[in-house]
Amino acid sequence: MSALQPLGEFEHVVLLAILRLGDAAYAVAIRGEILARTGRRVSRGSIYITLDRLETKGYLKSWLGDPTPERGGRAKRYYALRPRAVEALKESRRALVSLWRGHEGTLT
Amino acid sequence: MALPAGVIALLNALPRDLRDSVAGDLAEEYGAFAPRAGRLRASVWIWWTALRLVCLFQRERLTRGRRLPPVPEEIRGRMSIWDSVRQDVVFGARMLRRQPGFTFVAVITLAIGIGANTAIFSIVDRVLWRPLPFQDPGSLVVIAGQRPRESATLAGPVSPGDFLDWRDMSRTFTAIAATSSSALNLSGDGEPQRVRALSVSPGFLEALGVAPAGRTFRREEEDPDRARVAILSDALWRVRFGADPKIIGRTILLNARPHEVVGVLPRGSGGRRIRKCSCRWPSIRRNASGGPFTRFR
Repeated sequence: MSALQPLGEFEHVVLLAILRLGDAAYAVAIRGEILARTGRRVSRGSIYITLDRLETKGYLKSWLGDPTPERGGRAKRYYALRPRAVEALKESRRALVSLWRGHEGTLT
Repeated sequence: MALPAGVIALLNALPRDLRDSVAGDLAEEYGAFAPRAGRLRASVWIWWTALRLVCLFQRERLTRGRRLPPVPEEIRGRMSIWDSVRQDVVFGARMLRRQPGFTFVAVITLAIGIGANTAIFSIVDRVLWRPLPFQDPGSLVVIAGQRPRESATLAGPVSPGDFLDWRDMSRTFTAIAATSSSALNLSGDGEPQRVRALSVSPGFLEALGVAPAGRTFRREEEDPDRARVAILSDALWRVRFGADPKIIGRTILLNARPHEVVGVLPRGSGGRRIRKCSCRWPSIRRNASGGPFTRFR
């Protein structure tokens, strides 16, 4: 497994959305969560590509749920964070907080 | 709601591991969107969305060289060893198709490797593994002379006198025969030809268990006054004499001396290393004085 890479901004957002959704994190729900929490309407393609990249990097694991009739008999692919994703989120947060420190009043 | 068949076909361009779940997501959203927006708008929307997704993944594939994500634990648990092997073979084939230059080098490397291995195996098989083409090859030995004063290990030729004594007195060996290799000029019938020859004493072919067409050498042919005789290898008989069925009894010239052909060796029984070699099997002769010295001719 490669060394921990810095997270991109959108990767950060997607990982946090998955963390918030818990066991219900699949592409449609992740997109909905981002819209609900940030007001950003992101494209489906961006979500799929980012999930795919994060899984390839080893930040996510995925599994298939049970097929349902409303999905045409197809299963949902659920995502969950691997420990290294949690580490990457912590590191990203630490860097941002460190940069913000002392400027909270300036930029609010 | 079921997706249009064309959209499902279009989604086949997505990576295999994501194809089903993406199609399921779109079907779910399509089912929610169609009652609100109407069938026509929903159709346009689903086609447009699917096309964008496919284009995005194709661009991703071209720019990033998408690697396959790790196989999830629950799928890995259900996979048999043959699923895994099949997956590896298919994956390997895809990689080879994507990189023709690498494939070419790999194929050439394999071809050279297989060719070299085959050549080495053929030599080892012939030289070391296959038994000699003689009867009871395990009981054949080569006797060599040794001169302790000169070398403790170097083996050399046996003197003709020793050979005659050993042949007459030995009770250890079933038969003892002497050989000496040489090159001779074969002439008198077409173009002169340089051929490899082996001079042997009578009993040599019997010791090897080789029965030529015609006859073998006789003990009395050691007599220097008798005519010289020769037995041809199968290869020489076929190539030089066109497999002449009347070769036995004919006279050929070896080093300008007439020799009567008394036999032809069976195929594969000697002289097979070089196709155009011949084997000449004249007798061992005592010298004119009848002394202990002998010479091979």
